[in-house]
Amino acid sequence: MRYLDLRAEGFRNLADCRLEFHPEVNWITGANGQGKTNLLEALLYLVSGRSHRLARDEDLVGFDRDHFFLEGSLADEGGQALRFRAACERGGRRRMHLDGEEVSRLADLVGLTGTVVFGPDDVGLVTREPDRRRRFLDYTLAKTDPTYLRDLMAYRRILRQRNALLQARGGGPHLEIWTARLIEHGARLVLARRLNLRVLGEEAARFYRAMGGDGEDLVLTYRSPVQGGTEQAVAASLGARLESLAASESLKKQTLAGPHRDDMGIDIGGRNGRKFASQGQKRSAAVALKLAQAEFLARVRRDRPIVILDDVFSELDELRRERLCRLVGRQYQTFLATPQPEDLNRELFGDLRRFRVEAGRIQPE
Amino acid sequence: MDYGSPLLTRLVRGLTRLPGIGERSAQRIALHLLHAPVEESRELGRLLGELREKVGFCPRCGFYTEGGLCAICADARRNDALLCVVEQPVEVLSLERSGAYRGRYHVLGGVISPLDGVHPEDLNVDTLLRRLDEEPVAELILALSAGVEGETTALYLAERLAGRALRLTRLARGLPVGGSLEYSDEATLQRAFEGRVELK
Ligand SMILES: [Zn+2]
Repeated sequence: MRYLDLRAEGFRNLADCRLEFHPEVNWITGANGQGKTNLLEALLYLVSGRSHRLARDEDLVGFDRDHFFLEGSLADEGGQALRFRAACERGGRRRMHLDGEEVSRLADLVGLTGTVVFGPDDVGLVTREPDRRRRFLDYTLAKTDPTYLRDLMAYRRILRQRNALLQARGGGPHLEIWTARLIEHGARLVLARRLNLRVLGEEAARFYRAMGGDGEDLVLTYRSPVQGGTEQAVAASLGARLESLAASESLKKQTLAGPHRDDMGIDIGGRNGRKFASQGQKRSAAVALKLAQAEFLARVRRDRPIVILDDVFSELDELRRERLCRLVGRQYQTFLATPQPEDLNRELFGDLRRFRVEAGRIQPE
Repeated sequence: MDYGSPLLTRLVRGLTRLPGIGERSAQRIALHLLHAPVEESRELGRLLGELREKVGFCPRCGFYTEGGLCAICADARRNDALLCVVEQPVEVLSLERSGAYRGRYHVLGGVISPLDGVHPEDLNVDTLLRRLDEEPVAELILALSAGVEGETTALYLAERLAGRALRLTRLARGLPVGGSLEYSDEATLQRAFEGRVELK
């Protein structure tokens, strides 16, 4: 999928505008606070109904405006054009339209366009707590496999119910039925994560190597005390694990094993990257993970995602910057924002369109 | 809002507490009662007064009754071989309206949900087991809501019923996920009954 054009009115600090985009590289420059990220946010919001800054709809309305309006055309791989529209009045409900039809369920929209957003905070994928990495895995798999999404929703609900029972009674005879259901869905999640992580890991390793320059290898592993290569084996292993934890569970009043406790290991050069990698390595690894996700989504959905890179160059050295640009430039329609024009050597790209942002005004070059 | 009469104001406020009634509807209802023939509001007042005194739950199935067995349990023409388990009495109403089913019912009183403080012993399971001992039921149809709690409850019942010579089925999927039977239309319910499937 790629953006052809965008019309924005009343969105954040952006001046009303009509923009036409380059099919490959769109480079947005401007000092911080001028509106670069707001433009990227508009691009993401229009096709997904969500903001990567987790803003509420209300916050997206420009401060002296009573509503915002976004409209854009996108073309899919076959060249078929789709028209997206999003609008929200201050204090009102947002309305999204696709080709003139109102989209009532966000899920209908989410399945349509793949977007990969990388912002300054995304290095947390490598450095922060395991739940970031679990969410990354869950998002990737849920986007490509409806069965995974169903198992995930069921698992989360069952987990809440089981924890509620542990809270209320520390277990008891009725815990067993929730344990059985937890294992049923949990085993499928663990197995799917482990199998898909191999593919995702290969992609991530490839991107890391292509960008790296440190000669080290990136290896992703699924970290879980639960073992097994088949659904039955994983279920048996998770069951045994829960059984051995029964006493601790009733003491701590929560479920202590299952996919919600697992992690994705990120090893660089044979060592735990979370602890031992340099800042540049961590950032490269996070970018590699995101690009691997893009590639994974593209392969399964047979549609290339749109890649949004929000100020990712600041902590990459010259070599990694160059290599990253070469990697994404031709493969995806890319929107990249940098504060300084000198952050990017435009010779790296065959062709691109540059936009300057100043006080919310967007000027195509 | 001041209606010129404290009584009228209180009535409107009372009506807005009813499900689906906003202030405007409440005002329309109250003013209608004020202007309609007096018998209409007297009759309504009498019914409201008696509602909680007279209407209770059937000791056998849990559906509404004014004492003794409910009309469905007392009806000799119903098919004794079929027993349909529902969550709430309101679902009996939906199924009856659909005309898809002529067997008997059992109201469970909810589904297992520790988050809502509902545990298996809070449901009418023991009465269900007693009925299965006493009545010539050949097929037990679980008409519980789709979703984690409904499925877990079905699983729990299946375990409690293990070893009985009984066909255990559930309604076909296609009902709105998480939605109860209450909001399903008649054609959907008909299809759900016809396409019911055996539980493992
Ligand atoms: Zn009855």
